[in-house]
Amino acid sequence: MRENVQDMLPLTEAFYYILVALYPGDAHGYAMMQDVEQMSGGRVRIGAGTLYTALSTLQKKGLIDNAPGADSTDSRRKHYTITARGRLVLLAEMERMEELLGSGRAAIERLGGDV
Amino acid sequence: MMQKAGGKMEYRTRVSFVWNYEKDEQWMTDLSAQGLHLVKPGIVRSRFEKDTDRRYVYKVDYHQLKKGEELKSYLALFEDMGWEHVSSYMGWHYFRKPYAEGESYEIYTDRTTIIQLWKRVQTTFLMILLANIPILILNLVNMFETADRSEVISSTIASVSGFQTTVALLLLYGWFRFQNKIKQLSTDSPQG
Repeated sequence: MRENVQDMLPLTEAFYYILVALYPGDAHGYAMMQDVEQMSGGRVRIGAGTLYTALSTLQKKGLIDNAPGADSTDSRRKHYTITARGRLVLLAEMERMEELLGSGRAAIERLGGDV
Repeated sequence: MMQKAGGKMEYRTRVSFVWNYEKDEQWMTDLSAQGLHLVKPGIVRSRFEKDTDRRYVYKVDYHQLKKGEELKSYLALFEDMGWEHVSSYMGWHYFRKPYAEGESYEIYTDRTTIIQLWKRVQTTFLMILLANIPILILNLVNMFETADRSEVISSTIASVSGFQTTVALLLLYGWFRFQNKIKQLSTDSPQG
């Protein structure tokens, strides 16, 4: 059933940024959305429908999961945690993007442009 | 739901189809700008509350969610993002946010997830369609076995079958409407 890590790439911006937001620690949806907006300097805005759909998709694919032992004071909100598989996919995506950037930069440099 | 005491109720009638849900959002938002705020959506008749001091933008979302934890966390997420839950029925969830200049109102902000939304609706159409087909076939078979049966029963079976066929065709049509939306969005995209 499980998709190959490479088959999951490229990630959408929302998927990618959700994984990045969860990398340092567990969070609930709203906190992730704020994080993403800040990281991208306000460029990436994730709407509520997209965020919920993206979170359930990532969970189904096994890249994120419900955070264990989320505080009971905030039981309505769902807390998420990144899985080992999620970390793998994120790193693979970063490598892929690194290669894209590298190739682009090399081409521009060959023409003597500034990058 | 919070409702101001004494807000006058009004009703509006409108025939709409699911594939025009974006037009419904616009309709509700336009009425809200005139001081009529949807509180209870209906298939044809919807209830509104009159208050010219407020103005909202309305959005609908589709998700079949289990009552309890799943629905609660879904609604909590929308609330966190400034959306007030108005009503839900048959998997459609109605939200509104106070109107403000420069505020963002899109609830679907990328192609992938909006296509997922439309596919969820399509799946429901197909499931209802498939569930209806055996009964429809049974009725159609019955229609032609007219031996020793009263005219009342025969005509009842005929009208039920007619109704079912209409519903089935509408569902099929709706499925194609959404398919078309998906296709258009995908061909507009450079990412394919």
